[in-house]
Amino acid sequence: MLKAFAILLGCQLVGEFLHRIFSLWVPGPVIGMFLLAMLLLRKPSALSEPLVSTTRMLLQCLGLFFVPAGVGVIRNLNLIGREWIPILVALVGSTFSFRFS
Amino acid sequence: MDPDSCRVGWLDVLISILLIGGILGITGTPYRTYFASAQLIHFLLGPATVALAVPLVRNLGHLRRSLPGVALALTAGSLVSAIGGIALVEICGGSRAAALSMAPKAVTTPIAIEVTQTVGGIPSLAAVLAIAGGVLVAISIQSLLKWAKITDWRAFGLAAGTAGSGIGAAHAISFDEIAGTFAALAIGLTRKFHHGSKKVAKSFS
Repeated sequence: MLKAFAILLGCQLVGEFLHRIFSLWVPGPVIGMFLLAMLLLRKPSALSEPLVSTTRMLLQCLGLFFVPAGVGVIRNLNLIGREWIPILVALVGSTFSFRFS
Repeated sequence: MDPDSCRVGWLDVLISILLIGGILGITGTPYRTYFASAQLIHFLLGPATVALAVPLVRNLGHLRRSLPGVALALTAGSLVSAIGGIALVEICGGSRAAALSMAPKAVTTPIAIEVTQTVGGIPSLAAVLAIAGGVLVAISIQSLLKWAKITDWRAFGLAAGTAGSGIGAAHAISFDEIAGTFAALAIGLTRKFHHGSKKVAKSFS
């Protein structure tokens, strides 16, 4: 499990590095995701049982990791209070538009 | 540890945000103080994003077969979402900053924050909108897909990941691993899912 976590963090680190060096707009963790995917495709034996179970555990808690960023809503209460109609319309509209287009 | 003991749904996320937000408001605690202490949880978002590669690789067979349809779908849908979001805020009289914060909400929260900074929106508003969109998708996706008569787990995952970003993906993974794979793909490509793709994706399966 510790090793699996080290692999994930290593990929994120390299992704972050590429992100900074080439000033890409894709964030480090997403680059890291592609790096890990490529690594696992080249070397399927790297897809060990601990890696699978660790990632499964992480992904099942994925929602939890959004909470700190989500609480950031309290900093925008003024703006949301002022413009809640356009924000609500656009949020609902653009989330569903693709299904009716 | 039993992996099932830590299954976080959209309702848990919503309740947590409202509860913590309320407590911070009542006690007058600045967000920065809270965020500093919640840093560890926020930090795990990074490795969790990298972890999406595992279900992606494990189900690559499914992915290859439907790749042309998926690619087409994501490109078409992403444009509709970004342009639609900006246009709707402007039409309803919202500010420029709010409109620009709306644009990248289809992608994962970390990407949304990054993109918003670049185009001149408000990063924390973008994060909240991305999460709100995700919760919206998680609530509605099952009935919507049922209504559209879609039973394909791949379509489920793609739709959840594209329209609902991370929260949608988290929701998809809790149902089915193939759905999770397609949600991961959708997030990775930061594109949106388009209705027509289901037919195309099906024709390649």
